[in-house]
Amino acid sequence: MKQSYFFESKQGLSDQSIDQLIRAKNEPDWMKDFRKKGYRFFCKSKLPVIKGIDLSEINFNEIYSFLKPIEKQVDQWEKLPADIKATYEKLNIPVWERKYFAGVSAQYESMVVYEKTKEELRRQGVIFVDMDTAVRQYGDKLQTLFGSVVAADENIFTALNSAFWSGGVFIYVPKNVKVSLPLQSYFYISRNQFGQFERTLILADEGSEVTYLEGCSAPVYSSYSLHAGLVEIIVKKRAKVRYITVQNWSKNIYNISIKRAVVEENGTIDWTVASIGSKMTISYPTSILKGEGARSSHTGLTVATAGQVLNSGARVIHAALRTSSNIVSKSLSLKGGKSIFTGNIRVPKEISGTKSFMQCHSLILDNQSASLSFPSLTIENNQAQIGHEATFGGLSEEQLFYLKSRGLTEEEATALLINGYIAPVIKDMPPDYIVELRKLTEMEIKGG
Amino acid sequence: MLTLKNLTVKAGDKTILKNLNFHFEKGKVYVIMGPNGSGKSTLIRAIIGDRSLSIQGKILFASKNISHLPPEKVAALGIYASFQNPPAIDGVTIYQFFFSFFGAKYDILETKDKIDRIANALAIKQELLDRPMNVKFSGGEKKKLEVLQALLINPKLIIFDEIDSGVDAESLKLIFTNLKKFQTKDKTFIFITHYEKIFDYLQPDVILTIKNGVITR
Repeated sequence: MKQSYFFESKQGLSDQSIDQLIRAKNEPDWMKDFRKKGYRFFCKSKLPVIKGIDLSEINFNEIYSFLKPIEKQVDQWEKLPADIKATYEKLNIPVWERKYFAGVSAQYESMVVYEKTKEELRRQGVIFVDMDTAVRQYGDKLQTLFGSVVAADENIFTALNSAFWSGGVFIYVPKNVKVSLPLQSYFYISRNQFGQFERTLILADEGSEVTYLEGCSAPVYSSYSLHAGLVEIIVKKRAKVRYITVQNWSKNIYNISIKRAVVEENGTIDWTVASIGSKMTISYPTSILKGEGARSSHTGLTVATAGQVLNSGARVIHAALRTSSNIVSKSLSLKGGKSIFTGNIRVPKEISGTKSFMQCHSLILDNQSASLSFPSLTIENNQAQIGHEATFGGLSEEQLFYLKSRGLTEEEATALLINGYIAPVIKDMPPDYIVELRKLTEMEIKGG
Repeated sequence: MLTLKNLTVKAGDKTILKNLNFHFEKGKVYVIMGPNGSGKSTLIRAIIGDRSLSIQGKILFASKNISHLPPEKVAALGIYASFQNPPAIDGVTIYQFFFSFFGAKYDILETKDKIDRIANALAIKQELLDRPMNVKFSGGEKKKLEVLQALLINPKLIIFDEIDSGVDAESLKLIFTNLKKFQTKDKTFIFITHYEKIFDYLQPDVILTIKNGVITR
């Protein structure tokens, strides 16, 4: 399958390809400098060594960093080339757009090829625009925000994204505006040896509310591709942001996803991450509770099957008084899959009145599969109310026997119990997504 | 309908039931009495396919030896047993369970209609049907769910384990009224209990006793 592109970068993440990208993007100087700084740090960095994770297949010299499928973004599905349009239709994106979303953006390789928002959203002053356009159109606003939550020089992947980012979205919700329908971005990778490095920034102004949902997929091909996205979220006073991820990359994608929110006084960030696909995932959204009374909740579902190593989790830093956090993680490992939970809660000495609860549950369906858990609590303040709970194991024999004695087969009983196990962590998603997630999980169990 | 032939059941090294011989006839109602720990529940589990038990001898259902069949195969033949302590199934509502059970075979609205009708007859609140099975159910609610399943699954042989414990008199009356309506000439009922109050609600054809792993009339 050979796709033709409007623009195709040189192979490899090199001096030539970064120069080429900077020329092609034609961005303001501050962004050119930002990219160069990121690139310099990237060149100095090495791939990290993470317990249980093998990244040695990734070869930066063979990755295409910038593939632009069409010249100009469209706002009607009909205007997309037939094959690209068919891809999104197969994924139900246009149907779900009509049903659930106030705005949708669809990224194909390096570019947001489709984008549309409802009129009402624009009237409310909400900005929902792809990041490339945003940098040119809202440069003044973005210059101070870009990289303010996640610095370019934190690690190899923050640097890589900062240098080579393309696509992603910028969302701004004005003061006290409550966006009633969610916004959605859908990311698609169609070819191998490609790196998708989208960049997203959400700014929810005081007292505002917004829900953002991101989904993704890719076809199966012979080699690998790399996804290294970066998300920065700023939640102002009393604002509320819900961030939902349905990660369904094909099983040859290395998925490294850096997501972080800074939450000000009485603000709330809710993360829900369903991680089903990819060959390897490293993703632990971080909440920095910076203002008094700020809250975070992290809800995660991870399904790891044959050939997958999925490392998901959450990090919370209680950086202000009376902040609270809640982490719930459920994983399912089967057919040789490996799931890893990394949970991290920090309460510095001077921060009092905090509450935090972390629970991780691991269901392991057979003895080829594995689940690891690395919870860590760094609690320096002795008045913090902290709870931690963890469970490990297989399905309950008694539950299986009960359901089978009613006439369900082993497979049906297993599927029902697993549906029940995952139900609490996906219950707040749009109904079609719940159905889709159940189907995906069932397919993994049945090996379809 | 159901024949136990030289049936010995062991859990690990421990012999629970010793050389049982009995024939249950089609269309009759049996009560098996016996103190706690006499092996009543083990007998049920052996019949319905708990293969962690080791079984010697035969369990015949309509002349077919079922003693080595897995539970779903036993159920498919038309045998149903209520659990004394049904396990909680997190995240699976009663509706979801039945939809998955009847799934492909019947129309979903028809299934819902049927569930609602029988639930209503048993005075099971609508709200309960939307809750995960047996999670934080009262004793009575659990028993009613076991009866609801029996009535919907419509088996040939129905075994109730301690259906009369932990249930208030009114609910018990309702349960038996509905079971009576459900009774036909080709259905066999076995009630296992250690309370005599069950005789306030039903007149069995045969009363048996299990004691020290042995069954007697």
